[in-house]
Formats: sequence, C-alpha cells, structure tokens
Amino acid sequence: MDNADLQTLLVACLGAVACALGGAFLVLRRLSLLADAISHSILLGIVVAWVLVKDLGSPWLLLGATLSGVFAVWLVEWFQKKAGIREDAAMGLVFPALFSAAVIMISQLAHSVHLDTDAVINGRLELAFLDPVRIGNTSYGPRSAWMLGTLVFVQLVLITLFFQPLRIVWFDSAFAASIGISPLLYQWGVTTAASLTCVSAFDALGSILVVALMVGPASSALLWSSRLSRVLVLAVLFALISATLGFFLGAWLDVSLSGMIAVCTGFVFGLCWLLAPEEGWIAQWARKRRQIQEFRTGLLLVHLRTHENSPERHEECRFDRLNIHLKWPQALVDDVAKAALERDLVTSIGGLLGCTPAGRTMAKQLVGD
Amino acid sequence: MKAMDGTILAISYEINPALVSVVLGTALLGLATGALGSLAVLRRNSLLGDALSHAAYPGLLAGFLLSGTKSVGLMVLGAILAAAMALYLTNLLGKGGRVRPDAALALVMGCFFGIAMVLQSHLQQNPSAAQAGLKDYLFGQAGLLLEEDIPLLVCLALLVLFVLGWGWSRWKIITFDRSHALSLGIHVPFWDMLYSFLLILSVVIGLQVAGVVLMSALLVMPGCASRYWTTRMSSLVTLSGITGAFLGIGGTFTADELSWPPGPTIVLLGFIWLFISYGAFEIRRKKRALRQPFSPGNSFTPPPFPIPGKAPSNG
Repeated sequence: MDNADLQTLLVACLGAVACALGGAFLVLRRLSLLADAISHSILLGIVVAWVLVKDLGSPWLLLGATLSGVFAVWLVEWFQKKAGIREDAAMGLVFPALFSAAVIMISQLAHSVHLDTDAVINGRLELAFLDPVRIGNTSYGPRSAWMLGTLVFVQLVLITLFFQPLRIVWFDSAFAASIGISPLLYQWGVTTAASLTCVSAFDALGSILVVALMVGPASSALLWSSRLSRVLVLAVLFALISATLGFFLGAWLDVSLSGMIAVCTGFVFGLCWLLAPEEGWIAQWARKRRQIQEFRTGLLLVHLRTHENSPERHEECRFDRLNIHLKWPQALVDDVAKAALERDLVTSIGGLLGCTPAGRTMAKQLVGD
Repeated sequence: MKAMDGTILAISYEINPALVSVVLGTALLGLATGALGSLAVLRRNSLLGDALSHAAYPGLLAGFLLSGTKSVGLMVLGAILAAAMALYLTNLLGKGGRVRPDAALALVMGCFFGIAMVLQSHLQQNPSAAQAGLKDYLFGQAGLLLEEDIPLLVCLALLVLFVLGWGWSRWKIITFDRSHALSLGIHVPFWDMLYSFLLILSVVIGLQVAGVVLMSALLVMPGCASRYWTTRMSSLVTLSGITGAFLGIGGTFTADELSWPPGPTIVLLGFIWLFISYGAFEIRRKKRALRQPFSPGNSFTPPPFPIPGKAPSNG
C-alpha cells in the first residue's frame, strides 16, 4: 500500500463521513430521495458557473453547484406547496429537468470544456491524488481530501453547537416553532449543508455513490438505535467500514472504487438489516417465534385451568387427548407441554396435566380475572 | 408497410428520412410511458421509474458481459431481471416499517448503480469494439433509433394501452382505494405485479432513447402536466399518453433543429409544458374564484381527485 493508495483511502473515508452526517438528517425526515435530486441538480450549477467564469478550478463553480442544489430543493418545495404536485412527483420532475438543461448546455459547449458527464456520475476517486494542494514545491495531500476534511469538521462543529435545537426541529417542528426556534432556518441550513456535501463529494465519489453513502449508513444506523446522537455516531462508523471495505475490494478486483464502495454500503446495510439487535430480521424472527411459543403455552394453561376442577378433567387434560381438544398436532402438544413442564408451569401426574401455582397465576392474568 | 409510410411522409415534408423512425419511436415511447406514468403519479410512486431505470443498467451490462456482444435479447433480459430484483428488494426492505420506503428506494438504486459502475470499469479494462455504444444507455441516444426498433415500440405502446383498457375499472378502483378493491375481491397483488411488469418493460425499452437519468421524467411529466387539465382518470390517462407522444415528436424535431441531444430536449420541453399547464390552471382557478366570491373553498387547494361517490370539493 503506497502513498497514493493511502491518499485515495483518506479521500474515500472523508467523503463517506461527510455524506453520512448530512444524509442522516435527510433520512430521518424521509427525504432520502432529495439526496438523489440534489446530486443530479448540481451539474447545472457547475455548468452555469463555468459559462460565467470559464475556469474549472474556480471556487465559483462550488458556489454555483451548491446554489443549484438548494434551488432544486426550493423548486421541489414550490411544486409541492404552490402547484399542488405531490412530493415524489415533484422530485421526479425537478431533477431530470435541471439535469437535462445541464446535459444540453454541456453538449453545446463540448468543444470548449472538459466537463465529462460520465465523470459526474462515476466520480474520479482513483485520480483524486493527482490533484494535490501545493504551497511552493511541497504538496500537502489531495485537494479533495482537504475540502472534504474541512466539510466534515464544519459539519461536526455545527452539529455539536446546534445539536439541541436541531433535534427539536427535526422531531417536532411545531413544538420548535412554539418555543421560538425557527424550523425554516434549520431546515434550509441542513439542505444547504447537504447540497454542499453533494458538491464537495461528487467530484471524487460521483453522484450515485453520494446517494448511496447519504442513505445507506444512516439507514443502517437507524436499525441499531433510535437516539439521534447514537444514530450519527453509528452512521459515521458504518460509512467508514463501507468506504474501507469498498476501497480494498475495489483495489483487489481492480474495478471502480466508488462503485465498489456503493456496493459495500448496500452490503453493510444488508448485514445490519439481518443482524441488528432489535430491528434485525433474525431478531424479529426470533421474537415472533418466542411470542408464538408464549401464546401457545398460555393457551395450554388456560385450557388446563378451565377444566381444573371440572368432572371432565380426566378427558380434557389427558396428555394424549390434548391434540383433539386444542386441535393441535401431537408434535406441537409434545413441544409446548415439554417447554411448560421445564418452566414449572405445568405438572404431569400419570399422563394427566395440571397447572402449578405459577401456571395458574399466568392463566389468570391471560384471561383477566 | 410501416417503412413505406415513413418514406412517403419523409418525401412529402422533406424531412430527413432517418428522423422519421426517431420521431415515430419517441412518440410511441412517449405514448406508452405517459399513459403508464399518469398511474404512477396517482399512486404516489413517481420515483419508482427513476429507481428502476438505474437498477436496470447493471442488468444490461451483465447481459453484455455474459454474451460478449451487443445481443439485444440477453441485455434486455438482464435489464428486466435486475429491475425486477430491485423492485422486489425495495418492497421487501420497505415492508414492516423498519426501513423508510424512500430510503429503501434510494439505497437499492444507489447499490445497483454501484454494481453497474463496477461492471463498467471491468469492461473498460478489456475494451472491445462491441461495447462502444454501451454508454448511450446512460444518457440515451434517441438518434440511434432505427426502423427495426419501431415494431418493438409499437408492441409496447399497444400492450400498455391494451392492459390499461382491459382492466380499466379495476385499475381505477385499485388506484384510488386499495382496501375497497380488496373488499370487492379484486386480486390486487396480481394487478400490482402487472403494473410493475409494464413499468419495468417500458423503462428497459426506454433506456435506449431517454437514458437512465431522464427516464423518470418521461413517466412523470406528462401525468403531472395533464393533472392540471382534468380531474377524471380516464381523460388523465388519455391526455398523458397524447402529451407524451407530442413531447416525443416536438422534442425530437426541436433537438434536430438545434442539434441538441434529443432525450434532454424532450424532458426540457415537458418541463416547459408543465409550466404552461400550471399557468392555465391558475388562470382558470382565478376566474372561478371571481365568479364565486367569499367562499372559503376558493383558497388554494390542490386539484381534487375524483373519488368515486364523492363530488370534488372545489368546483
């Protein structure tokens, strides 16, 4: 692993963290697809800014791109609030339109500008180290690493400073407004930050990877916890894991790094979806099994208690007749009765089942008398 | 027969003959996606088309990788399979409320496109002449529509129109009131599947014309624009189909005239048409408001949906 590899990995990790932080807020507000809309729309800002300043390295391009991302969000809102189009349709309208405008402009300028639409979608992570920041003759690491690093730092500072109001606005904007916190200010703040993230990250990572990294780690984190602070920490962690894993896999297979990172984001999410402690598929499956078992035990206990002192007890509570009375297959009766015996909820005297005091209490609770 | 018609048309109006098949193709695709997309708009999953078109791309590449040539059959099959898988995954993840549906959609789309990027970079390492046109699917190359493609597009348009017309009353009930549809004994999952199948089919076929990124606009724009002109579902679907077809025709001619890329031109034209529709709607609304002063109902509400058995609230 040489210096160039290390620099590439650094860029990938910083980009992943920047996206994960901004993306967590979008996912929480059910605005995941806004990431998609923003990341497609910024191309227009870049092209327009380029037409105005004619310099691909100019910071005006950054500003133009960020503004066009915010403009896209504003347009989506406008369609929603003023023009009566639903959110999903509004997004589906806005970003193809802005993207089309950009593609047309690029096609008209093709002879004079090296704006490769392909690079916009795929990113140039592999080439990031070729563009270092130089002061005098010494180079201080890739330019995108500095940009993304600054972005991560600013995001962290802002989130720490405004954590409390941000949290209130994000989960209950009506309450926030009533205690004098302006929801609009924070919403547009986060939108601008998300747009800026897309802009800084997409040069290195490509617009689609930005979407995957904004949505994937945050969604994975939400499966593990429902506390905002923990979700943020976990999202950053998952983003780092995905970026590192994707980097090494991509380098090993010699394929597109950003594509591999996107795939790894999905892979990490898939693992979380299966394995997360409470929300995970396996945990839910186990919980369901437990609940079914519990319900069956309860049913058995209630049956036994109902017939406890009745004359037909010898018929109703006989172990080998239970399958008829409970309408269960014999194997199930075996299973449930054995578990109940082990838990001391049921006694068995010569094939005749009865409740223990503990079992009686449970049955009583279930029936509710 | 078709080809002959095309030539006659071309001669009589002095149009570039190659353009005729392009115009016909985009018009047919616009018709199919417009009609189908209006349903997507009503069902509130307009962005599904976007996700499916992103997800179909890796399937396309995988088909190419397997066959080694640009065999359309295998590529289309791969694209359909990939899109169907993405749709299944999105539904699976979004079910049960553990993952937000929008997040599931965005994530599946991102990952599938990541796979596409991986495949693409793998292909680029051993370049061959055959893969030259693969990138056209990313941004679309309507200019490459040939006469041979027209029958396929005719079939697609006819299939969409036939299926929509065949189950019209059911589509209507399912779109507006799913639980009512279930209570009537309509097999909703079957119709959902049919709808998804048509959507996937038109997305995959449309990829070549509109490209991955702009496919969703072809689905959504005609529906949204037509929504300003009508509140009846039958006229909405008809109008969206016609709008889509005209956008295809107009966009292709405009693109040819200005030598712009056709896909984006169609989308931009659609966007302009959307604004015109909105303006017309606003003017009619203002006029109506002037006719009936002092009614609180005249404050702006989105165009009401015609719920069966309930009169629209605004006029």
